[in-house]
Amino acid sequence: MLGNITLGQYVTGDSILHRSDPRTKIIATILMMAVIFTLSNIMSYIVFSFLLTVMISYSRIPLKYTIKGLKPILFLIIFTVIINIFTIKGEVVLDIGFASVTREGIYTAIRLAMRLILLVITASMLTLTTTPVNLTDGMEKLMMPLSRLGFPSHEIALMMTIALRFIPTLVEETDKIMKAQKSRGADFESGNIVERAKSFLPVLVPLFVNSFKRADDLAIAMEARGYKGGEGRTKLRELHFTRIDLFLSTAVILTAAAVFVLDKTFF
Amino acid sequence: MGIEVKNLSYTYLRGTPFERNALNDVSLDINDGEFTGIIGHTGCGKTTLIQHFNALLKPNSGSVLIDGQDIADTDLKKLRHKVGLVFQYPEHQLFEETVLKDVAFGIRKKDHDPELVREKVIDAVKKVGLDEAILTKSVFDLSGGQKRRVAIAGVLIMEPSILVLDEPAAGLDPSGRDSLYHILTDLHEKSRITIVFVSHSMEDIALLCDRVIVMNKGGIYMSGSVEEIFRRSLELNEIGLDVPGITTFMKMLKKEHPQVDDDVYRLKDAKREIIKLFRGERC
Repeated sequence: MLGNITLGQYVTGDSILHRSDPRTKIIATILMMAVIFTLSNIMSYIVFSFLLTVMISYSRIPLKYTIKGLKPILFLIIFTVIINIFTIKGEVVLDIGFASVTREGIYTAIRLAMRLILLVITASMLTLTTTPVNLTDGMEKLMMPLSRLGFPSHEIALMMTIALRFIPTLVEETDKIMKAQKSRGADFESGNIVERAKSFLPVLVPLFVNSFKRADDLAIAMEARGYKGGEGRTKLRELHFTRIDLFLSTAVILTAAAVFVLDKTFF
Repeated sequence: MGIEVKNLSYTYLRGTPFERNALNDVSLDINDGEFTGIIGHTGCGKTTLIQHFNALLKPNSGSVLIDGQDIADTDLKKLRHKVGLVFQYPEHQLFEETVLKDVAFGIRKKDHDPELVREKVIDAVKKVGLDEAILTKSVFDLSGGQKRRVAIAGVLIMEPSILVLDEPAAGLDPSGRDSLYHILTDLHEKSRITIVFVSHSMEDIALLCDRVIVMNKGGIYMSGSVEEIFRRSLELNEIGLDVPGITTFMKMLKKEHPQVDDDVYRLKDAKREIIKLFRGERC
């Protein structure tokens, strides 16, 4: 059950996207997401989807796999679509008594659905092609200018690294505890919502207890290895901009600009 | 009857780039009342296999039959009462305020008479060699060995006829381990429970089990009695396993004293052989 959540989990590879600097990818992702928000025409979304597909094919990650990552937000998409179809006022195209569907409603629904899908896929392209360590390294570097103002960029990056590092561990552990409790007759599937929420107590308590223990162990292990915070700390792998980054950033900036201009002028 | 596994295959995360094949065409039979040991290298599929016994995992292909019934169409609750599965480090699953509540978790139901539940809990706790006085304690105040036993009691309370344990002695001190094994032999002999025992310790397997199943790379490498398996020491070495330490010792002894029988896998048999050697030399 939990093993099926694949949203944005790093997939090993050696593509252009995998090899480029995380900073390039973070900024490119932010840029692309910003562009997605500004698009107003369905045609632009289609063009953008096409360009995104080209990018995915460059990453050599199966398209099917990236689309599968949408599963967790499927409910959100369906919910937004339904709400929009029925609530937006305008030219009525279908009247079913208590509610009516408008042309504007359908357009908005499609636009919002596409926007959500593209946002999630764009964001997951970043995490699919970047190891968590590289990702937080990139973020730390990008936040560096802020640390002059007293912003704890190293600490935040470290917290993110630890959080990301332990997601798979926690997923695995949750799965194990759920199995253990199922073996003792626990039932997570039946009953109303209150009963079902209650039935997770036997999972949550051990999960918390074990997490606290693990946090303690981790802190001791880090101190034993001489960790003293970010000051004067060097990196095993320095980040470097290469020609790949130049290529990638040029490509992203050009396509983003092109789609943006296309959206504002032609469609 | 017991457990019948036919051509079982299982792959984790099927259809994703993380796909990992865990079991390949595994077939085996475990009879009622047997004490079976499963050994194998880490990651050879032992844990995956035993999670099929109470339908925590469903086969990708092939079938698993418990007492002649396919797990695919058995009522899960009944099945999990019949097959008790004790996970590795089972104390990590404890969560209730008191031992009484935690052990009773498997049989808690609104209409259950609290007195009857208490009786059953006492019974289960005694089976694992703990005292009634422990019932009111918090599960988080117990020692490691006690926690482990409470967790096992939490499975025993469902009165399983098949008990599956995944490395139950991992992380216990020698006395904790010995008393745990004493409990298992007791359960096996007195309550006639079928026991499946996963372990990395060849000594423990030789000591406890009637039958041994050796797994390697998601398949059954060999199976047979303790003697049959450990006689094939070269094949075991090939897959990174070994014979019990005492057998290695007897083999070394045989080099010096060819009259010694090195077909020995348990301490008590070794003792007998060595005494025989001493007596023989004195004559």
